[in-house]
Amino acid sequence: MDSKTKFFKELGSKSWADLSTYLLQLLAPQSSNSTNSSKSCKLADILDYFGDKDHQELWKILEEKTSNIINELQNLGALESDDCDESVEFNSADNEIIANFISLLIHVSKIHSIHAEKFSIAMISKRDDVLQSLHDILLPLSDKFSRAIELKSQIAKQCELKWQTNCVDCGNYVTQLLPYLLLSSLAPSSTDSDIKRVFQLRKAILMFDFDDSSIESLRGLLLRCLLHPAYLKLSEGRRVLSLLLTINEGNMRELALEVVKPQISHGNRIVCMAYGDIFVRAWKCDSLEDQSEAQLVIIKGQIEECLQTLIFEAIHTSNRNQFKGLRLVLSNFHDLKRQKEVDSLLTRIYSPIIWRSLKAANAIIRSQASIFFFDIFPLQDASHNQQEAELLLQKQFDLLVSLLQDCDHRVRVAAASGSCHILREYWEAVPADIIKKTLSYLVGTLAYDTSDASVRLAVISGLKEILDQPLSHIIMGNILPNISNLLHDNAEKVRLGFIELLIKVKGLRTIHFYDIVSVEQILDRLAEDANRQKISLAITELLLNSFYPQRYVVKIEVALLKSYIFISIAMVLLSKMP
Amino acid sequence: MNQGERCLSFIRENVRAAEVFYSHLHQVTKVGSAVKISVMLFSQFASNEENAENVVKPVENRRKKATAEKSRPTAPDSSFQFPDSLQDSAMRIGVLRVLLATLLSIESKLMLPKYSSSLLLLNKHFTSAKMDFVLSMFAFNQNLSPLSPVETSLIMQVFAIPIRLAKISSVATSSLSSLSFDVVIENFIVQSQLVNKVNVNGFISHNALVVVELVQAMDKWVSLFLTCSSIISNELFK
Repeated sequence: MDSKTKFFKELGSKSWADLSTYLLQLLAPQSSNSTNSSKSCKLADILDYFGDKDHQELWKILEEKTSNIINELQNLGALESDDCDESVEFNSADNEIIANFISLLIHVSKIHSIHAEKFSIAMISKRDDVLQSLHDILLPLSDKFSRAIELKSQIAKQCELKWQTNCVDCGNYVTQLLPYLLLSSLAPSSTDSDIKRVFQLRKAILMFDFDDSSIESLRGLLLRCLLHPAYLKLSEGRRVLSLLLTINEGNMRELALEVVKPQISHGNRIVCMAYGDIFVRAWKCDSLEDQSEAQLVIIKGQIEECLQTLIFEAIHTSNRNQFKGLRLVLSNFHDLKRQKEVDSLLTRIYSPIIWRSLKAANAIIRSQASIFFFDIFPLQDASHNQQEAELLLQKQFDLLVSLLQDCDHRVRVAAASGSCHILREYWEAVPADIIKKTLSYLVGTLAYDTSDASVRLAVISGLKEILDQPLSHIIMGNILPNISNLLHDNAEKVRLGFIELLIKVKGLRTIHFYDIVSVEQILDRLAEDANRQKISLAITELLLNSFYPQRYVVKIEVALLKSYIFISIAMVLLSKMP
Repeated sequence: MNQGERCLSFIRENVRAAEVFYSHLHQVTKVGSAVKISVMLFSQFASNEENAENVVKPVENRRKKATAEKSRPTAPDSSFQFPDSLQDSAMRIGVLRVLLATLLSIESKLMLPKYSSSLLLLNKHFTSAKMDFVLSMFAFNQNLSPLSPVETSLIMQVFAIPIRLAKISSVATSSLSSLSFDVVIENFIVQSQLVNKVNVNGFISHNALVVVELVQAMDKWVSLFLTCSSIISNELFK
């Protein structure tokens, strides 16, 4: 009898407990007491010496022992089930032996997986069966069991490696692994790497049948992820969450929306922006590389329906925080308006809602609709011909002017801010008569709107925004003196806004703030508002260079230095010329 | 126009606005800028300092004479002249108001170690010699106009700040000549009485607090007591 046959006979005849002790002796690094380095190499040496058939024989024995050990775990009550007794106590000596054996199995599997290409399919299949058995105890194994957390982590890592091989049966290793990783990532002690591990496994989410009743716990875990701050913070986390919105089975998308909506209602900026990013990724089908074109079109259509629901709720809500939150979510799409496909999307999803809402009897609806109208201006469809496109644009210009004349001050506030924003962005594209009409109405009427100070403030803030557009400076230089009286407005915020406008003008070369309002008036205002910290500080900032010139000398020095450098360069270049 | 000239023209134009502007200066620029402008304004008063030597002796002689005659020092000395820019009493008050507002706005900041260099600059210019000189000017150049107590009150409030700060930074600038100080307080009280006669109610009580503040800053309680006693005794034996 040769040494190999003797070895296998010895292995087969041992109980799993003895086998564990025996293998531990061979694998010294696993035993903490061992100091002999020659022993530590024994198992690896033996495995290296084995041929393919020997490995098959080895895994056959290990498979048998594994099933024995799983039976033993069941007998001990270490595998949790619905009817398991939570008060069960485990014998620590047995515990340790079982834990050592499982640990050994994983170790041997790891050694084999390194040299997987050397082995036959039959051998790999035997090894995979063992790994499959271990995967099946990943969640049921009680945490009370000795070294359970460490063992679970080792098993999970082996299963992840198996998933990454992208083999045909890799799906067999995720049913327990995905919930395990989700639980780890949702634990209070979780780290970013836990979420990244879930991200690596994201395609496995789509392999589950969400119509099946047994999916409840996994669905619960996935929905909990939608609320987890770490998922919202990490890009990988947001990509995982975007995948949830693409799942239509089992009301998954509806449930996800129900979970997300209350969060958006709180109006937290970071959270809302994260949800917006998730919606954008979901609409772009960011994590669905393997889906066919037809499937992607269907998914996009379903997500567009969701977006329309959000838009409708945003415009019709009476909760200001919810409106702000939803606007932040949708702003992720508005910011991508320059992309052709997003532009078409915005026209598609807004058109059925916005025109009607802008003419609603309820002023809150009109004001909220007008805010969205200015956010998405101009709505245009690539499929329209030139005439249709011009008609649509003219309709929007007419609306712009009519919103400024709305009977409700909230709508006028939105219209004043929005129209100024449009003038800044599209100064060249807006017809001259619309510019003239808008500006003259803003300066002549709304700047002196007595119904609410917020309208006057909106006009001032809007005009300040227009100054960012250099082409507007000539016209603005002529019209701004018409609102000089706002320096002495009754409302403090309006006065402050006006001074901030003057500070903005101070930074321009084409307009002088003292041409808009005289310095004497500003000084009188400073004396008058001496006790109003914000205003007096703003006026001090405005007048700083007038009464406390600072960098006069430095400017001359810099100009001289620049001239000197320019002349030097010119001289060098001239000398090099032929 | 430099910063000093602009500041004076600003004060001439709108004192209240200038007061507010310079009290916010440290917030829009640096604390050092506010110290610089304070020093610049103070130097307007102390620009005749070279005459200081000629000032002390006549003051001393007059004081001795006044004590001997048991009368208050009233005759102004022609050698004490405010600079041209401060000949006008309203302008002097304006400059003092701005100076006071600027120093008050930065006083708490100057107590912090991080602004020690600015405090050093302040201490360098607000010396006892200069303050003494300015006090002398106020003591003997007042023409008993209703505005004089205002100027005196302001100058005392202004001086209280560097003296307080000098105490914190343990710099010996607070040793003002008790002679000038006594004369200023004496004048101040006499003029306050005159002011009261022309029915500016409540002015004395307000400025009495200012005197107490400065006296507190300088630890000159004894001096104040003696001056007040001398005035009261004069009134009693008249």
